[in-house]
Amino acid sequence: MILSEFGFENFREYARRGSAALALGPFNVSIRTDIDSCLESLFELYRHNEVVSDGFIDVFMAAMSRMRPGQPWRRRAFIYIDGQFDVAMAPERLATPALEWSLNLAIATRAHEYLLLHGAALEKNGRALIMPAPPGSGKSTLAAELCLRGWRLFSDEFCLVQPETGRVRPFPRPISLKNRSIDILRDKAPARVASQVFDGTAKGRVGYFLPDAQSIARQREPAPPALIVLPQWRENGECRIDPLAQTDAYGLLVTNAINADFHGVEGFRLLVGAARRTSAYKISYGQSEDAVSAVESLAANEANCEADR
Amino acid sequence: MTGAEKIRAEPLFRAWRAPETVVTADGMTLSLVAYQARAAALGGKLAHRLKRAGLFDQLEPGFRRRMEAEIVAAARIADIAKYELRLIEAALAGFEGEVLLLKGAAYQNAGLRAGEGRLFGDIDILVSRSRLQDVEKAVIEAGWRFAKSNPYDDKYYREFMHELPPLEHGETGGHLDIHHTISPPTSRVRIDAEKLIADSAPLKGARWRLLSPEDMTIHAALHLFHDGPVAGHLRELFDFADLIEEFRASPEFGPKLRARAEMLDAGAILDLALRMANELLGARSDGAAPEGPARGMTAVLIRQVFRPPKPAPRRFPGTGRDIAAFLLYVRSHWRRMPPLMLGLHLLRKLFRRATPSRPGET
Repeated sequence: MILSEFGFENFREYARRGSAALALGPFNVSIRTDIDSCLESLFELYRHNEVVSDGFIDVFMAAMSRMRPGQPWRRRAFIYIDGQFDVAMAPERLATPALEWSLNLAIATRAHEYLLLHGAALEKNGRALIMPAPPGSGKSTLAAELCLRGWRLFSDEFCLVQPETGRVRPFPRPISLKNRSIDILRDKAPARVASQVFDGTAKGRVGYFLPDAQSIARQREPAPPALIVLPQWRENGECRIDPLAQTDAYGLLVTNAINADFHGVEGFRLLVGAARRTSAYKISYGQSEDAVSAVESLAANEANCEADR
Repeated sequence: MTGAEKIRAEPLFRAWRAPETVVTADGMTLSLVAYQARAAALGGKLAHRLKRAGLFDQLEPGFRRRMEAEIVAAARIADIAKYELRLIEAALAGFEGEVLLLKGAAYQNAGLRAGEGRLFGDIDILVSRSRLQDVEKAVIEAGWRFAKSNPYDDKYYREFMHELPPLEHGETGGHLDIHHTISPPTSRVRIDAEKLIADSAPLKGARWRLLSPEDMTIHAALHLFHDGPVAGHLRELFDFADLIEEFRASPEFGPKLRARAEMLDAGAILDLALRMANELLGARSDGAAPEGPARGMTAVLIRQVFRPPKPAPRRFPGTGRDIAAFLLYVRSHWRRMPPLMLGLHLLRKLFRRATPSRPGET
C-alpha cells in the first residue's frame, strides 16, 4: 500500500510511535517524528512510496521537537540516525530538509554493498544517464526537467552501483531545488513541485520536485550506465557539447565516488569498466531547455551507436 | 526476568547464539539484530558468523544487503590495519627484541575467527619493559607522536597507569599502543611480560610474535573487565567468545587456560568472562570453568553496560546504561588513584571537550 492510500492520520499515528517505515529504493527507512509540519511535507513528498509493515528496516530516522538548550521558547528539530543524535539540529520549521539531508548522510555511511557515486541518475530506454557533478552545476534542475520529458528518476543525489553487475539501482527521492529553480519548475509543472518551500536554509530557499508514480513503482529495476554527462551551467551561457575522453570520464567518476576506498581494487575496476562502456560529455549551457535537448540527442545517438555495434 | 535473561533475549545475542534463527526471524527482529550489531560495531563479526554457518543465501534480502555492506566495510578496515602494521614493522626494522601483536592485529594475522569482520582502530603491541624506551624512540623517529599531548594526560598515563600514552601516526593518523604487560594497572599482581614472551610463538614468516592461545584468551578477559572505560566493550565479549570457541578444538586448551589463569592470578577474571560468555553468547570452553550465571555487583553493572540500545531517540544522558558505565569507570580507577585525585580527574574528563573517535575505537 502506498502512502497516499495509507492516509495522513495513520501516517501521523505511526510516525509518532516510530512505526512508520517507507520503501525508498532498496532501503526501508523508519521515520519517527512529532513535528506536524514535517509530517505534512513528508506525506506529500513520499506519497507514492510503499509503506513497509513488518519488513526489515535498514535505518531508523527521527526528527524530534526539542527545546533549544538555554532558550526554552525556541523549538528545534533534532535529527537522529539510529537513535543517535549528533547529526543535525535545525529550526523546527526546517525539519524536513534537515531530515532529508541526514538521510543522505545515513545512506552514504551505510550502503557499502554498493559503490556510491555522488550525482544524479536517470533512465530512458533501458539505459542509465549519470551526472556526477558538484553542487551548483545545475544537475538537480536538469534532472527535474528530464523527468518532465519522460525520464525515469533514479536519484538526484546518489548513484548506487551494484558491484556484481555494474548496473545502477534506483533510489528515487524528491529532488531538492534551490531558489530560482523552484519558481521555474513550478511554472512548468505546478503539480510536481511540493507545496512547502523552506526559507533560510544554508543554501537559500529549498523546494522539492516530486518523483512521478512510475519512477517509484519501478524503483527495483536497475539499468546499466550508458551516458555520463557533466553539466556546467553559466548565466547566459551558450550551449556547447564537448566529448570527454575515457580518462576524463574515469576522473569524473572517481572524484565523485563516495565510498570508493571501501571497494578497493574491485571498485577501481568497476569505475574503469564504467568509463570504458559509456560515452561521456560535458554540456555547458545557460538555458536548461538547451541542456535537456542536448541530453536527449546524446541519448538517442548513444542508442543508435549501440544498435550499430 | 533477571538482568542476564533480559540480555540473552536481545535479538543480537539470540542471533549470535543461534544463527539459524535469523533465517526465519520476522522483520522487526531482523531490524533489531542489524541495528544492535551496528551500534556495537559488531556488524562485520556477525556477518562472518552467519557466513561461516552457511546461512548467507537464505537470509532475507534487505538484511543480507546490510550484512554484505558490513563485510565490505570490515575488509577495508582490515586492509588499513595491515598497511599500518607494515609501517610499524618498518619503524622497528632496527629493533631486534621481541614484539608481540595483541588483540585485533593478533587475531587478524593469526587468521583467527575473532579477527574476521572485526572493526578496530588501534594496533596494540607488547614488548619487554626494559626495551620500552628503545621502541618508543624508534616509532617517534618514524613519524608517530603522542596523541595525548597535554602534560596532565601524559603524567596520568606514565605515572598512574605506568603505560606509554597512546601514539598516533603523523600522516596516516593510525593509532598505536605499546604495552609492556597485559595486566591492567588495577590488579594486585603485575603480569610479568617476560613470562608472556617466554610462552609466545613466532608468527610464521613475520617479525611478530603472538601470545599463546591461553594468554591471548586471558588478555581478552582482562581487557574486557578492567581496561579503562568499560562502556562499549561489548565487542570484547564477542572476541572472547570467538577465541574460546575456536581454541576448544584442542581438548587440552581448557585445562591449560585454567592453569595459566591461576598462575597469573587472573582466575577470578577468567571465571567472570567464561560465565558471561556462556550465559549471553552460549560460548563454552571444556575444562576451563564451571558454567553458570555470573554473580556479584560487577556482573550486574557489566550486564547493564552490555544492554544493547534501542533505535528510539535517546532523550537523556542519564540512562541506566550510562550510569553503570560511569560506575564501572570509577571502580576501575578507584585503586589507581587516591580519592581526591580521582575526583579531580573525573571532573577534568567531564568538562574536557570530547575528541572525535575513529570507527572501531571504544
